Amino acid sequence: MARWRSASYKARERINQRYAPHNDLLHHRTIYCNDLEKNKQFSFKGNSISTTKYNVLTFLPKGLFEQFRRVANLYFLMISILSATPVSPVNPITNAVPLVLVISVSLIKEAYEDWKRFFNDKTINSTMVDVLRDGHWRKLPWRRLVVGDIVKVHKDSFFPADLLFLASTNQDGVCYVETSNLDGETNLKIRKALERTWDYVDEERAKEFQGEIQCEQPNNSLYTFTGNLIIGKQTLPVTPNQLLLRGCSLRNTEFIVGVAVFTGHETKVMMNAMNVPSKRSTLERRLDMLILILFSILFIMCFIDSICSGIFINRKYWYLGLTSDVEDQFNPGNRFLVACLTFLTFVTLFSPIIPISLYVSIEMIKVFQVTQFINKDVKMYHKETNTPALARTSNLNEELGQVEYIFSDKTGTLTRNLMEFFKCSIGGVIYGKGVTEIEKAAARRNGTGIEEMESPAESHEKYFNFDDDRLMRGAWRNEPNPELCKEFFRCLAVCHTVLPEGDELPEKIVYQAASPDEAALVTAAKMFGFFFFRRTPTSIRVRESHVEKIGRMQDVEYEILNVLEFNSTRKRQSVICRYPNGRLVLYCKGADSVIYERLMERHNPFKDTNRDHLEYFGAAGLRTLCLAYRDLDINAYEMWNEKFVQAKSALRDREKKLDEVAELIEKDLILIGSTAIEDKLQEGVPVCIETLAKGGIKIWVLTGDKLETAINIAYACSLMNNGMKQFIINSDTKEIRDVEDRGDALETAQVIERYVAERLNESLRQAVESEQTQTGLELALVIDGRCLMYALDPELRGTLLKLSVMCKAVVCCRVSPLQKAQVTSMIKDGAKKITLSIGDGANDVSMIQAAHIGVGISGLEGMQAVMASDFAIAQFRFLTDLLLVHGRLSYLRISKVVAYFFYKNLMFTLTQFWFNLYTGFSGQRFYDDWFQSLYNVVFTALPVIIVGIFDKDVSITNSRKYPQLYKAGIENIFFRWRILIIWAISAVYQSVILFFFPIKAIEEGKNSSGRMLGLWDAGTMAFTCVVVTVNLRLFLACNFITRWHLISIFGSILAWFIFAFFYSGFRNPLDKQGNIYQVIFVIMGTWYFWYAIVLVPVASLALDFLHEGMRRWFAPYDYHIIQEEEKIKGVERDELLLVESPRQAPEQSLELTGLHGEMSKHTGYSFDSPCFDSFFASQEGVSMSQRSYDIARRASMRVSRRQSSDLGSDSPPPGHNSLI
Amino acid sequence: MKKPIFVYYQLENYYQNHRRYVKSRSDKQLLYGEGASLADTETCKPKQLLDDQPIIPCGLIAWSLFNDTYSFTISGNAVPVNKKGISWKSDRYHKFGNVYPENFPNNLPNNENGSLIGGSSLDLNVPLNEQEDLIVWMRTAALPTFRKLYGRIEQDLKAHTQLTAQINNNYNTYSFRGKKKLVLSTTSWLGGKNDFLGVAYITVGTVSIFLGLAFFIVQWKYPRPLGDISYLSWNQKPATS
Repeated sequence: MARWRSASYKARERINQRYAPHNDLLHHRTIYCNDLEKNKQFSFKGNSISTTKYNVLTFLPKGLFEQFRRVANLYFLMISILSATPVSPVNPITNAVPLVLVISVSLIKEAYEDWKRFFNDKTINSTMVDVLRDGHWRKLPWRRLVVGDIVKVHKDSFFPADLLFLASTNQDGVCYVETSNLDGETNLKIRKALERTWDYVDEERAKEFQGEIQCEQPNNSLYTFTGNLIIGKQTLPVTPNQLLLRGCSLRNTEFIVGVAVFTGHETKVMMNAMNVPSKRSTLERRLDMLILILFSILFIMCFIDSICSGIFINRKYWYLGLTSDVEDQFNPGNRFLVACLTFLTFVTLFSPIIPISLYVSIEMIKVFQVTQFINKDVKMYHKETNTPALARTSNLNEELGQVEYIFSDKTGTLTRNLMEFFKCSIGGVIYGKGVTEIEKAAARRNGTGIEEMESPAESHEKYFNFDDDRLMRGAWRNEPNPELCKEFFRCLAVCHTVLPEGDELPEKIVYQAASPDEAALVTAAKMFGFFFFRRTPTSIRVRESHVEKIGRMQDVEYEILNVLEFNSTRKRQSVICRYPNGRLVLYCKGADSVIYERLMERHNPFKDTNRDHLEYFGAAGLRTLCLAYRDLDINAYEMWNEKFVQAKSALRDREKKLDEVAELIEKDLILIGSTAIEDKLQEGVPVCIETLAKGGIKIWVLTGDKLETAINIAYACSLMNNGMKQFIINSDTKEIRDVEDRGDALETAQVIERYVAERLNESLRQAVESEQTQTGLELALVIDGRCLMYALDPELRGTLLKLSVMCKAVVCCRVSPLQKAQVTSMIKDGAKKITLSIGDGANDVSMIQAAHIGVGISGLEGMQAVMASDFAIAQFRFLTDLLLVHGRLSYLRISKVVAYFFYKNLMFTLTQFWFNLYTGFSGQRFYDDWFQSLYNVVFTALPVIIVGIFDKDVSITNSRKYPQLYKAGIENIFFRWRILIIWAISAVYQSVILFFFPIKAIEEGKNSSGRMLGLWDAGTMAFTCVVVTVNLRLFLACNFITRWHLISIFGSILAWFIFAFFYSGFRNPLDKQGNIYQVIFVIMGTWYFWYAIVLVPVASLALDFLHEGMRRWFAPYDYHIIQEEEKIKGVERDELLLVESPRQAPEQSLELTGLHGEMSKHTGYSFDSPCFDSFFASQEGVSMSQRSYDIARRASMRVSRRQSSDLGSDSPPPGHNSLI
Repeated sequence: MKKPIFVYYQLENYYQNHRRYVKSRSDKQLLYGEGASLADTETCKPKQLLDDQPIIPCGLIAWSLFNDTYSFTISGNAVPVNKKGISWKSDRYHKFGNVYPENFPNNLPNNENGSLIGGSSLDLNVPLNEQEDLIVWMRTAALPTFRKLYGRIEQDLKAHTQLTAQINNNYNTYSFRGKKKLVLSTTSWLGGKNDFLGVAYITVGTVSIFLGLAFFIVQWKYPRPLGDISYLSWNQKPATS
């Protein structure tokens, strides 16, 4: 009982979430239009914006604060302060100089960036706009605009604030806006003013406008707006349709007049400008761990030394002058205090163990990688759209080398989002000769002949890839059912929401469509001789060339009475139109499931044939729609229309009511046929996916498409094949549908939940079984969004995760943007793997942001995904280069750089540690201050950067040829603890050699004069050896050597000598102690120097050499072998040859192929519409783009007016289709 | 032993490299004498001032100057020890100036306030850059066991010659149980005998040859053909059928 209750509670909660109203009208703002004084009481925010991070006053404190949030910087600040105290063994300047250097570089960068932002803001704020003040239009800068102002915006200019649209110069009070800044869509949207305000266009009228607006508080939802306009005693509801958003621009309209509703930072677009969370790479986070380890080592060393120093200090060493008044640090009377203070001394002394220049170096390397390699790679340059790859952040380069999971959107990413009318079925006859990629791929898999049936060359119309002599050029008249053909074409030409633009000629017209499917359908109609060329708010004009004589055209005007919009619950769209002869007909197109439900029982003879065709289309990966019509009786229509108008003006649940009303008339349909549209794959996608899969990357497809389409696409891109065991978890089963039909949402939820749990557990059991039996069977999981919703519940999540990581391919279909992000997070957080999301549309934004790396597809329309992404590429196939070449190399380089930094700082500090074991733990420095501080920033800085930029294990060609090399990154071969431990061992060994060799060697006289050398001689000698060794170590670490390597490595060594000569050649006025004065000349005058400089580096590098040699010999890395191969066979220079490497021979056994066709008895219905996403969005509380079907609204508004006059004369004789 | 024979003293457990000790000097004062300001000699504490007058040379290092003296005889005949040129030229010319010792505590008749007396006194009439014992002493040693050049015997000593050394044991190492040693040594152009570097060279060389041989044998017995892609990790695991 309790269990049931908890389950039902959860389900109810879910339902509540789904239907929760997302607008809170309780808190609203009131605006008095055109009344400055009255609005003042509310003190709305002004219209000036500022996106800068700092201002003149806050720059220094805030900027410094930002800098010192980096632990390393803060640490060095503390060290610098500490070194100014007497406990310090070093000069404070020497610690401060590198810190100041590092911080000022960063600050200058910040200041420059902020200055650019400031300048940008200034330009925007001083853009001029016409504002109505004191009864006249005044040109004012944007920043002076206030809420309630009436403004005039001219053609092609941007809206200065969120405006309530009052009037426009266009007839019917409409205007066209371009929203590409907001959502990246370039097609124009229509906005329509309230009829009541249409005439406030000119100055005279506008200044009389008095009204009160009550509307919601500023929020970031771009697609919702609720409010009322109160004029006099009239209260008019206002909707997003009357709202002109800042960021959009006015098109095709001379000017408009509007009232500012939200200004400045309160505008929707500004509220939307969220801070993109900055991502840090996993390697960088591991780097923090490394730093922490270094800190612990530091702490341990300091602790040991300070304890010992407390024990050591003793008055018996009389020469130390430890008299009674000795300072605390050496006072043997208080050993505890001695230990504490000496601890601080050692912290200062050993501070170089934390590599201050590491972050700066890595940043430089990454910026170089980004600007010189990734952004300039010809292989990732898309010629057609002139789009190079773009890395929008340089933080994540090396992350690209460790990606294990790719989450890909389908439309626009894997496919071109180019819909081509491909086939159709009219009256039970199938038309169209084309062969889809999927069919070709299937044929290839089957081994049957690949007929290279290229699409007919003549029909190179965009959206149209169809050829069949039976239909083209008017030939359809000779078909068995010409009347039905005519209905088919008319339905295509009339039932849509497309806007024609440009000249009204078939060649020149451009269709602005809400979805490419629609454009394809209307284009198809055009090609069949039903040229839709003009749309007015109430009618559609079609130039028909079907009449008796070929070549004779006739313009026919269809009056559009109602448009019943498409949405994803309805899955259909209807238009009620009236022929010139008065025939009243409803055309409907939609998913097969919904259309079939609404067909008339009789009079549909080819229902079954059509279903077969739909299945065939679906199997071929085509997107299908069913077309149907219904002749309407005028009286019935009028009765219905009343209800419709009522629903239309309902204030609450308008959408729901409209759906219900539509249901009443969309019935008893007569099936015409079905269309099949091909969703073209992007170039090179299958090859790319195969290559990535070989590299150990798992690719998941997350799509809003329906199950079968998604599976088909997965097949087409070689993601899934018939050799795989497939687990399909789909909510679209009969059981669930039955429960749903009963209408009990609660029960439905429970049933689905139980079903999902069962399926998941069962699948997991089978998966584990197949894993254990070692059949090597690859697994694939297909799950739909609805099941996913339950599967992502905490209880099932673990099961889902376990199952999905066992699968080679996972396809999630019908998922909402939020679910895309949830799935991504599940792998990211649950499986702790590196994830990459790639997508092109606004619906991918959340997923792109959720993943470790977000990749946006750039070049075509839509900037939202790109704006949210970390990398932008023009084509999916460029992922191969981005990951296998750039990512892999970046990972290799950065991990090498970090390991090297770790080694060189550890080693350097250890030599000082060994030394202090012999100085009575006093914290005496072995090297001079300046040696120590310049060690990191000068003597060893550049070569490692060069290696970080240029190092390359195998040629680019072989990186592509052997995608398996990428696995090293996934398994983190080059930066795992084992590697670091080896580096650490090497550091310890080298430090021992580098300390003891020089210092032991000077126990005797070092030349014929018999004179002895001292502390500073040994220190300088050791330091020289350190610089030489550390720099030469890079030769062992890097895979190949260019002249840059040579220049930087030997340059650094030379820099040390030059510095040493200067430093010991001149007395340093700042330095009270001239310890190093003349030292280098003394030691260089001894043979000891020259012998040691050869022996010590050789001896210290011997261990590394041995290790590298053994590694290569006995346990070679894969890249070692490929390097050898390159050495023997030579490197192929022509890297272009391998970009599109030939497909590997199919490995599946023959009996398995063909399975696919039988399995997917689906009909391929899909109709991409942004509404689909917004449907989910409203469910999940995420607001997504929603194109308003403005035309439909306009049309329906007009209907009510004209009805009375028109209806009487036009009684359509049913069944009469001809117009004349 | 061929001339020159170098006379060294060796101290053990003597921390000339202790931080407090190393910094307790003023290079400016050593070069410029009274020209050095009070701030310049700050590091010399606690041997900076004596009776509010600056000590020249100041600091613990100078104050603790080694003061044992050695003299040698062969069958009663004195063997002269040349104490010139025992320091590095650069020290004499660049680090120590023509500065005369002044107010040096060790030169006081006795420890005036009962505190410890340091090491050797200095000849107040000889400038510091000629006081080579001090110069040698002040080139502080790197390790607690160190040798410093005392002087040179510039005559050959035949084998089986009995050399008598007379040592004035002035320098106090008893308190910290430090050992003192007297070393006679000749050098070649490479430096002293029993060279650490020489041993190191031979060791490193031997190890290298040995490893080279080991590698050779392994490659001879179990050769791995270079660049054989069948050794690639993904080619080794037989593909699951």
